[in-house]
Amino acid sequence: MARLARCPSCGAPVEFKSVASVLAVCDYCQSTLLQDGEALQNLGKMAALVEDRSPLQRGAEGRWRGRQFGLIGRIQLNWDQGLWNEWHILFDDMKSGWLSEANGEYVVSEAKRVSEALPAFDQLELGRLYMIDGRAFTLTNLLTATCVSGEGELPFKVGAGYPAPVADLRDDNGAFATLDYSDDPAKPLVFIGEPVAFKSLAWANLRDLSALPQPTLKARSFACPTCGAPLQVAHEKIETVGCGSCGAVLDTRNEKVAQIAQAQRQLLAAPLIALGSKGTLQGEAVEVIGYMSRSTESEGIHYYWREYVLAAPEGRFVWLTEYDGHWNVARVLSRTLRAGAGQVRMDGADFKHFSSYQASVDYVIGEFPWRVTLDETATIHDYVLPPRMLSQEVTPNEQTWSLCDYIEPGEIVAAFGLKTALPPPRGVYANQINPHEENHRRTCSRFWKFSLAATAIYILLLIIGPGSNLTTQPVSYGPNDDDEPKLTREIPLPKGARRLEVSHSTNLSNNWVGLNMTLVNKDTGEAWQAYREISRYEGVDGGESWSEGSRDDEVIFTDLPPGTYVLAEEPEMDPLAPRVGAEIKIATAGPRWSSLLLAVIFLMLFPIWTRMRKGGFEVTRWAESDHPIVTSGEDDE
Amino acid sequence: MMARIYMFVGLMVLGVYSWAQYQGVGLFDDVADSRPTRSSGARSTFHK
Repeated sequence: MARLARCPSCGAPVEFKSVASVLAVCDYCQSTLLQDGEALQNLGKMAALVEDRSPLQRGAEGRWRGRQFGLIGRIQLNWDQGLWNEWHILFDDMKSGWLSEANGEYVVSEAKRVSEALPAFDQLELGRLYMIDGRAFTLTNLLTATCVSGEGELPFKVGAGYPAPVADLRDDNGAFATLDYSDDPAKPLVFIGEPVAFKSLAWANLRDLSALPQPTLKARSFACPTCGAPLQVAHEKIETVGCGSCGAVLDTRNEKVAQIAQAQRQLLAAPLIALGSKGTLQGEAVEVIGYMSRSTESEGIHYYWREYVLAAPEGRFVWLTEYDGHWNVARVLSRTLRAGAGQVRMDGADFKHFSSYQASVDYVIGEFPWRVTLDETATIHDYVLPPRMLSQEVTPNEQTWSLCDYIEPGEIVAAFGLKTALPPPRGVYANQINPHEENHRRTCSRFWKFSLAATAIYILLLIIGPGSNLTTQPVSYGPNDDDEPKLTREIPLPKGARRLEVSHSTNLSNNWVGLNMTLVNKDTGEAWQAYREISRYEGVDGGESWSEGSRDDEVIFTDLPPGTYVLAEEPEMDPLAPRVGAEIKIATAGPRWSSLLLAVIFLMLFPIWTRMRKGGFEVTRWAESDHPIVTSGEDDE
Repeated sequence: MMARIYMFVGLMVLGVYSWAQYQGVGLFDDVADSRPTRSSGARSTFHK
């Protein structure tokens, strides 16, 4: 139930829509009015809000998780990196909550009583896990902001200059928590919610930005206080401008531009995409507003890369990074991820740790939505799953995760309509797609199909092929047999068959037999000779059994013309050897497993080759990482 | 490109392989002397 009161200063009506509101700022005289029982206590004038061109305003309405809400108040805060708004929202069930608006990110949260004992502000550690309301959150941001101003209804007492020590936490499912130590540095207020897409809140009664007088922020021109070069701020939420002429970094939050840093190095390379270039990148309208050169040092060598800040719709920002001609589109994630054991998991996919390094900003040109510092270094941990890469950037106060997508230079040229081609990539980049990967996958796929076909052909010919048994005949060999050769039955060679397989299965034991075989074509008198020695020795030596040779033997007669054949055998044996029993089997030769093996080995050469090429690319990729792939050759060295 | 070459080579290998399997040619076969002899003894013994 709304409560109406009169401003004790100007008499204008002041409305308290939420029972939770204890403070209101008079819309007419900006008096800060504190509810004191039924009376209103005037705490004095509230400072003016800084025009930030937010699309939100008091009275705007939206919908979140099926609940209608309205904006009834706002606190505007300031910290090292810029301004942000905390909008006090009132749901249709009369519960209140907060909508945070910072750098194009929106977070809806509600106050929560939690059972966990939370540490004091000065005991918090960035990157550490904290259990809040039964969930594990990672501390991602630690800051002490200052209240700039407020408007409308607020549930607690605020005023310009009030310090607000707060900690932001995120979990890996996208949930968000804020610990607010404004009232008590030892016991925080807890707010839990989630980042939301602006459009998903189904807004009504938003602020009409076009009705604003073209503001100071729109194409605000000024001269660089260091070198006098003409500069301008042409976009919303710009905190810093880098002078391309002298390398000065300028604070543009106030009308009086102040220098906050000076580049110590020369700008090594001009932007490949001019500032102000507009285009459509991955379906999103963007404009290049800032350019920075960053570097890291390893073993005395500096490595440089370039980052472009792109302004995207709804006040969001996208980054383009370029190193040695390799480009990535990077977007800051609204959630945190937990790294462990050399990898980090996101949406079921594992990204492998690639490298960690210290990065510093060397030079900036153009507009930046945060306060750029040249002296501060950030620790960056890169995890790759080509063509994607997760990059964790850690500063003393903040840790953020960005998702990078590798993009070909040609796409950049097309996106911005560049008239000249970008330099071709050099070397292999961390998350570059392995160009041999797809080739290897297709080759492997074909290898399995070919192998399956070869096996199917083998089985098919085994069943219905020309291989068939022509005769099986028992025989025995003795040392005292007469000199007459042992003859098999007559064997008609089937039409089309040109090979006969003669197999012997014997009961040899510690013995041998030599067989002089003559295969005779009875029709032509032609004869084919073969000599086979079959031997089998076995025993036990030192408790271990051993054997040598085989009781069985096969030989193939090839290039046989059609006809009827007889096999004649003349055995040779040790004169003292016992008699040997055997079975002769004569068959037309069928499919051979050895041919199948040979075909598969030959077919395997191609996948082996593509695998080597793919592996070689990965060796080159990981040579630049903290985990180079050590080949056996390098190991020997 | 490699995948296309592999397709072509693989089909050729399968063709040769199928022919060899039909003929019963094996990689590890022990093969008898393929040159026939024509001896009068053999003819008198076996030739009708």
